Amino acid sequence: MRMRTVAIVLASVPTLLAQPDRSVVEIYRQAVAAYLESGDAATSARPLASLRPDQLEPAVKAVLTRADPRELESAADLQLEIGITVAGLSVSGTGAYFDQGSRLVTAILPPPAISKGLSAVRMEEIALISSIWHRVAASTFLSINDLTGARRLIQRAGRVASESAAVFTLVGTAHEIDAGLNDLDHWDPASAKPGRTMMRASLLLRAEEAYRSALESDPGYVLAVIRLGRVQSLQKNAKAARESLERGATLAREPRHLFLAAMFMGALQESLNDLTGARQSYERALSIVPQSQDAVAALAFAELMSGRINRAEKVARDYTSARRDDAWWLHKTGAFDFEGLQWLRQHLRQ
Amino acid sequence: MRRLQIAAVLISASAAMISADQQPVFRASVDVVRIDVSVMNGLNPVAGLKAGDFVLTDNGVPQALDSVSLDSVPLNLMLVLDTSGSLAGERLTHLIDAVNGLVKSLRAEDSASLMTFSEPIRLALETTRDRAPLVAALTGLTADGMTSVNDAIFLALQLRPADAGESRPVLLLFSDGRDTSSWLRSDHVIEATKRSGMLVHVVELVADEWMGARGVEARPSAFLGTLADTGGGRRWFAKSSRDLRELFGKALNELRARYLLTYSPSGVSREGWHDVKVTLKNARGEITARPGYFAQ
Repeated sequence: MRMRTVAIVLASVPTLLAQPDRSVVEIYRQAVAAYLESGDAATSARPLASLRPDQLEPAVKAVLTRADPRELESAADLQLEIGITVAGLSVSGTGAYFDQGSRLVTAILPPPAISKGLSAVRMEEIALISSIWHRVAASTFLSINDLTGARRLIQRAGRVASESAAVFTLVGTAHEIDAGLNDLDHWDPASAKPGRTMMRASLLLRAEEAYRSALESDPGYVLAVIRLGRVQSLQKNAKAARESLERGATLAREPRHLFLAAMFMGALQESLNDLTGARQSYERALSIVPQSQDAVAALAFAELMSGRINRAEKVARDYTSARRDDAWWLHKTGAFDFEGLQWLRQHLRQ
Repeated sequence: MRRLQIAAVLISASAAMISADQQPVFRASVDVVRIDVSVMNGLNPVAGLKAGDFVLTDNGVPQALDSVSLDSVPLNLMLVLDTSGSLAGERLTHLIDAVNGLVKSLRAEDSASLMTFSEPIRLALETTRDRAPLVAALTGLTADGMTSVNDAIFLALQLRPADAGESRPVLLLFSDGRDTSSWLRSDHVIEATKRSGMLVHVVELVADEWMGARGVEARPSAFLGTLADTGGGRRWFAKSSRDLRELFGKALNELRARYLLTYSPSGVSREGWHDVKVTLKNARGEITARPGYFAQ
């Protein structure tokens, strides 16, 4: 709800374009301070509503020049919140907000001459902020299938925490989505380019390797367990896929992880012609994330194939008729890192 | 080469009785199949055909036609419009203008609904005979985001009109791009189309300057062609969004010129896929219709 409100604000507030840079710098500074104080991105960002990212640039540079760690973190998080908010509306806009935010969050770590005086604990904390920030931004792009934007940010997250299970998992997710986009569609020869099947197989293999690296780094990293199961399912390794997905579902605590485990189990069951099992899995997924368009489409299709046409219609009608206020794209694929965003918000409030 | 395809709607005389929690129980002893057929001679529809002019087989078994009607059953049009980012600007303006033109040409007894999709899919307007909310919904359209055309078609097919017996349900799809964000694959959608009674027409924007500027080779989507074939309809290409108004007009004219063949299947098994073929005797023309229907 909050994020959608920002989007509405961004589209509706009267223009501030005529104001000189100095005013933009001050307006931005006040917005960042308000966000630090309240944690309310929608209200804090309201004065920035009609300013394009390039118009914010002088203000971002001013924050970088002041180099106050708290202000840098607050500004970076506000940029992240705005970027997430507009992701489903403007991919290029999101990229610009994220690029500025990335510079801000990277600058929290001062130059080597100064950072020598920081404790190891503080250094670790700064690295964690930067890593999680970039992971959340990358996951935003993954949730709308923008692999170019996602990979750029994953790379930056990897610079800070190269052995992180979370980063490995993001790398794998990008490969997995890429494999999906290269799926040979036999109804459309236009997509059946030579080598596409091999490309898809190669991407799935790279995704599997990335998930296994994540699990070597952290054997209990549940998202990697679940996504490994998904890749195994796409590789037609049903037995291994089922084991991974069942283990993932057992380990999962976060709603997003439970959702993904259910969705991927449903797809596996459907591929094995277990429509009853698939329906139950998709129903579970939809009960966890009722806004998920993927879950709606999957469940309605399983209902149709089971001969339950009235149920298929009800699922479709309930979803398409609903009026939603939130940023729907964050729920669509299960790729968005809600936990990371929550961590950043809490850290800023501490 | 003549294209013989059959559009069929299986409607159950006593209706399939399904509650939300039950497996389906079909009580029908008499099913009526409605086949929506286009007969063209070149670019011109062939008018004046009677039941005796058609030969119809259901799984190879000749069937007696109960009735043949032309243009007497109101349309129930589901407009499914692509509003992804590639439509932004004048392309969306042209699309809205084209659909407005189509809406104005509908008859008082016709009804229409509106579904839009980019990445999200929204039923912008439920079925109505009132034109004002339809025009208002069209006016408010914006274009952003990626393309969930597979999921959109599938969900639209599920929202079949409740009064299919009193109207001709038609899904009219407009899209300019390939799918980039659906859960369902194209083969899922084709399977769902086989099981739907909706006639599916497609207007596709191809060779648009937007695609050229991005290095995307502009060529018709084979999937959308298969979709129209499976749905018993036709596909029209627009090389520019400026052509859309004319093509939507052609689509509506084609719909007006279709025959609705009705029969009660006999001598064939009840469930499963029914391969239907329609040919003409005593007349010439190219028949376009659905290749069969699925009964369960």
